[in-house]
Amino acid sequence: MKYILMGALLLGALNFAYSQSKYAVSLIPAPLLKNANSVVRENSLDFEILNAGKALQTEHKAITLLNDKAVDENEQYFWQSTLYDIIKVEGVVYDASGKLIRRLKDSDMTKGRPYQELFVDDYKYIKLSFPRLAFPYTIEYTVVTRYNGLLFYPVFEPQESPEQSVESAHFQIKAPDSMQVRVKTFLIGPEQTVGKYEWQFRNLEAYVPEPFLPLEYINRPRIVSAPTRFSMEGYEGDMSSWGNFGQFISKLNKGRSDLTPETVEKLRALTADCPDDRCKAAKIYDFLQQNTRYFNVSLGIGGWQPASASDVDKYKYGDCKGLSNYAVAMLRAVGLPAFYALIRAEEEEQQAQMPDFPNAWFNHATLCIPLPGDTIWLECTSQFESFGFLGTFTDDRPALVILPGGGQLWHTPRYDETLNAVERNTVLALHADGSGELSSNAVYRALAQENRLFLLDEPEAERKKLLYKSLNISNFEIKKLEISKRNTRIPESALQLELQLPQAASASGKRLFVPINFLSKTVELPLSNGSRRAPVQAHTRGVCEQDSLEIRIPDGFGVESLPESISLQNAFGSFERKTQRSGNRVVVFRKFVLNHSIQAPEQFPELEKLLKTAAKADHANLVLLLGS
Amino acid sequence: MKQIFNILTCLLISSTVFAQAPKVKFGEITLAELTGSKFPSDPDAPAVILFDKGSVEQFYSKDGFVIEYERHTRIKIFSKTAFELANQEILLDMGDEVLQFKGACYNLEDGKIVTTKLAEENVFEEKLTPRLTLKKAAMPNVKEGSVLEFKYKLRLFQYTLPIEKWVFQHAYAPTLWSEFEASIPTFIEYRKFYQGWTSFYFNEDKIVEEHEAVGSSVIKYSCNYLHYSQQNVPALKPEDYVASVEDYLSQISLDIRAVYKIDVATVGSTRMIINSKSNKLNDSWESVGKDLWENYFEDSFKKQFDPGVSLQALTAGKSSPIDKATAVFEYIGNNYQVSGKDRWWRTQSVQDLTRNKKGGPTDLNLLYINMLQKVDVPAYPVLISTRSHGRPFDFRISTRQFDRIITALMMEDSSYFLIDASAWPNPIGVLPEQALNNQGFIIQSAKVAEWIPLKSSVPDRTALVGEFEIHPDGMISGSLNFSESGHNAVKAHQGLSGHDTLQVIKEHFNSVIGDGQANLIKFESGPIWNNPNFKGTFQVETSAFTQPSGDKIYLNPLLGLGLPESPFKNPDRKFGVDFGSPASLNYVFYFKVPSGYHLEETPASVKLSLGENALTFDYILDKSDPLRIKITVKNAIRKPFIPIDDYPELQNFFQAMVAKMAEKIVLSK
Repeated sequence: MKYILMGALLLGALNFAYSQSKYAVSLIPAPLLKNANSVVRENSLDFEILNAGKALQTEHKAITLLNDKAVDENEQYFWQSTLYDIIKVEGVVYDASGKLIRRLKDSDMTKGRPYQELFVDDYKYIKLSFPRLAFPYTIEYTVVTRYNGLLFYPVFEPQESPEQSVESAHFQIKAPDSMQVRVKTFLIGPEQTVGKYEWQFRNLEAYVPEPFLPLEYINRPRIVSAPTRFSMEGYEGDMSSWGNFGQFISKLNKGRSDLTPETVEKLRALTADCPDDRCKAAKIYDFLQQNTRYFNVSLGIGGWQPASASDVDKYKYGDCKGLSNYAVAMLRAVGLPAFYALIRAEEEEQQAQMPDFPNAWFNHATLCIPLPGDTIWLECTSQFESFGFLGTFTDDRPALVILPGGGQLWHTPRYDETLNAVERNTVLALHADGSGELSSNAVYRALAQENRLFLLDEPEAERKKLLYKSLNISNFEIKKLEISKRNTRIPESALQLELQLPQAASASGKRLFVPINFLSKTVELPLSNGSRRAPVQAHTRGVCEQDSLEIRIPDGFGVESLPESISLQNAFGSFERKTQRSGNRVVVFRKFVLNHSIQAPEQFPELEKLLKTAAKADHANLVLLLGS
Repeated sequence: MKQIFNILTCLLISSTVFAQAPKVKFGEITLAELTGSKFPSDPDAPAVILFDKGSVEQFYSKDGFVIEYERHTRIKIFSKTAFELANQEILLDMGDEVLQFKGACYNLEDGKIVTTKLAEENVFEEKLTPRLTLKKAAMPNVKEGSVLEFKYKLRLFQYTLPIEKWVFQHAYAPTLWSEFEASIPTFIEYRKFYQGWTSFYFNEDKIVEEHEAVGSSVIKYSCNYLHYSQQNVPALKPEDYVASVEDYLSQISLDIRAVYKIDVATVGSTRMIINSKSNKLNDSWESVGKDLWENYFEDSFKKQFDPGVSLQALTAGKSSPIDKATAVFEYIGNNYQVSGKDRWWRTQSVQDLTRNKKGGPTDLNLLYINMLQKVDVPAYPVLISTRSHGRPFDFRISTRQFDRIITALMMEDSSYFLIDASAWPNPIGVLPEQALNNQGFIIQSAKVAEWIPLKSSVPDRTALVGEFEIHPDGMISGSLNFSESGHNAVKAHQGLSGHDTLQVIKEHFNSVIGDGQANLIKFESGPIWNNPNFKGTFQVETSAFTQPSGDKIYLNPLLGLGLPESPFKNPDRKFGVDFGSPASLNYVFYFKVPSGYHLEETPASVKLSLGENALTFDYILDKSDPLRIKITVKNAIRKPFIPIDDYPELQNFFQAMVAKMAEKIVLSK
């Protein structure tokens, strides 16, 4: 949410020459109907570059909607901003036989703005609302967009999702000889390349999406194009190398880092007692977190120019660019080497940036401080993040650091299963009627504490409400709930719980069936559907969970069935359970590790085995028998 | 710090018994408001609304009657999580004029109050549509401990009140003082409807005489002066199983009760505006029904119109009202697009609708009723409130409670068959979940109008019959016959298109198959749209629900279908529980005991019910044949709304049900 939205959105188009029944559903080859919710009948994207700053894009697309899951296609959004303008838009809808039912009119096209609470920007859209007919039916549109300011050339993905098949798709870039276009392709065969900057695709089949995909895995054809020379709102740039693109960003940021002498004085006083640079950086970061908030004003230079440091200092708010630029200025004011950096943020986008292909697909700004032996990255839009820690939003990926001589890609820190950990000690005092008291101390570390943070922000009553919802225990009452966070370099949060369980164990007759996992049950298995196409990753970051549960057996009961010890280790991780009985206590120790390493498709059954073992083991019961 | 805290405590506690209404002037901030780091009666609150006042005045000016609306808000920020309150928005309609807009942020720095004013460069304007403009203000210099103040005044380009209700309570923070006053000429008469449990400080409603000098003459008229306030209103957060939190926030609604024609009596240079004949609205439900019928429905239903299709041809060969209604429903679904917000009134003429083939849910339903009446199907409009719009009350006489019209067919036995013509491609008897909100108001004629419960004609029902064999190694194998109807069945059906049926069934019945295998034996019906059922039989083999140990096998006889946890664990709940619609589950499972084993222990049969059978749960274990155990489980929601007073009982019901469903059968060698 806290990123710039600088994406030039991909638009395109083509000729409207169709015969009456061109889009009859009966003409779709049978293999394209399998696994599909929609079929792209025709897709043609024509990008004509006129000069470094101007282009014309024509997109024509016809999509057959096969069922309700494709119904989102019924509304198509086309974006406009100061940098691109829609000059033509048309839409038509056809029934299953390919008969033209309706041409969209002005009343089917809504002009609007995206409403975003924390944003002020100049994005506008035109929304085409197609009528909803009986499935299957076909929508068709043509959109012509004029670009004025060209940081982006199109990314063309003929097949947008696994459950979409493609009958025909075509992409072409036209450019004057003087303009050098750069292109990077993924999964494109030689027969699909039909010209220098021209590609044709036919009959791409839909497929069942597969779980546990590695983030960097690209499983559908994609063409990414980018400029060499470009211009935008009077600024000229060159993207042929990261160094040159970095110089362009420097140009935008130039003259925007001044602070008032009073502020500089204040910062120097604030850091005067610091013995070293790390301490200074930490104090400045704390000052930033205490004194600013996120509010995105993305106006001007396509939303790429940060607000000046003095404005952010005055108003105490800014977006990622403004806050990062402000923090850089403050850090430099106390003599630290700090650099503004662009990054492709989002948990799912970790591997999306292409280090070997300089481009402008960034959506967030951050900063880094290269201290000797320790490069510190700071997330400037968060009032809560630990100093020097990056969450899943920006971890483990290249960032374009804007150095005096130009840009350079530096890699942000990785946090893997050796760091991302949960350690939990739990005691269950069980009574003869099956009720019990459960007390638990858990520590969450590194990325593992991220999903506990929501609890920190909430008042007591809300925390309880959230826990009542999120804990998978049949019934309980919270007697005590304490959460705290240690903002260390690798942050930790601690959760202390005391619960009263009216049915800790299921009592039937003489027996008590006691679950041996209350707080970390593994849920839901992936369903294997035969052959696996894609490589497999058990966890995108890696995580390690350790539990020890001590069950205190009520008087008069003996153990009838003690779940056995289990140990399984494979390339995806490990699952270990040890059960121990001593006197009137049973201790269940559990360790579950999921690795971030990527394995070959044929290894998938091993992952299933690991997860099934864990799920089955976590659902086992200790059986206690009265009078034994 | 401790001392500072005490000062705030004093301020806030003394303010809970305001001796008189607080006089708050913009810019006059007290030291006490700036100190302190938490709100005593809600120490976790991230902010407190210190003061919030709205004033509406409708008065005579040289431009005729105009409305001015003023809002003044002061907020104390305790923690960073409330920083978003520093961004405020005003929505302006075309013609609205901003007479005043100011803001300030106050901070305590070295014991002194430092004021930062909202400057022009902190205010942004976005044109949302040609009509609507959004003004966004981002208050500068906001920190933990800041007090924010906003004040604006608008002159509005409209005739009736700019706000339908004043909300005293907020989800995000407690409110120390909330006040609303309005001065409205008596030619529009409002009825007040209060919802909530917090008490009033001011609760006034009186008539005052107003006069305005316009040119050389004086205009005299009387106004209703309304004045309400509340103090110390706690924050109220949304909960699960609630249709809309709006239903519960303390608020006062103003519904128009009557509009008077006015006469002007001139006495010298004084002109008196006097009410004459009134058009009474919303006086009783009978009068609402009569008024709507005569002024709204009767005419439009009688009017000849060109439906754009031959209704005779569409319904040819169909004799029953349901068959005819189905054919017309399918026609509308296939040819019309649902577009536009929920409004209970028609948003366009029938002519425009049949030409554009696009309209809001109410437009489509009115067209549908019209079409059905033309082919002699007795169809009537039903006014409803969708779930997100809040619960409708029959004791609040106002059409404002509604936001959609759906269709009722009168059946031969005088029961109603409800249809939402905008719900395509749902099967015809399945109302969308949004429409299932308690009750609706049906209007059949000028004389016949009444409240009716809203429910789908097709019930939400799941019935499973399983025939299983237990193997000594803990494996369970056998066949499961399923028959579902209603919302779940429709969802399952819609998932089938283009997908492997077995795969869809495996996902749908994951809780029975677990880590095992399944093979389809029989599957009824193809994916035609008007099919509210999902039926078939599959073979299953799984070891997920047994635990063999030594000479024992422990079996969960509900497999994975037992409710794993109670959804109502939290003892603190403020709102009633709304399940949406009636539903029922019915499981009958047979288990063949492996040879050499006998039943050592079995769960006892049990019957539970809540209220007058609003919820029931039956668990019957039949071991009359010791080699073939039979278990029957029935769970039904008959009344989907459980009032908050019954919440403890509901908690117990679910606790007992969850416990029962977790019980095991013990087999022994």
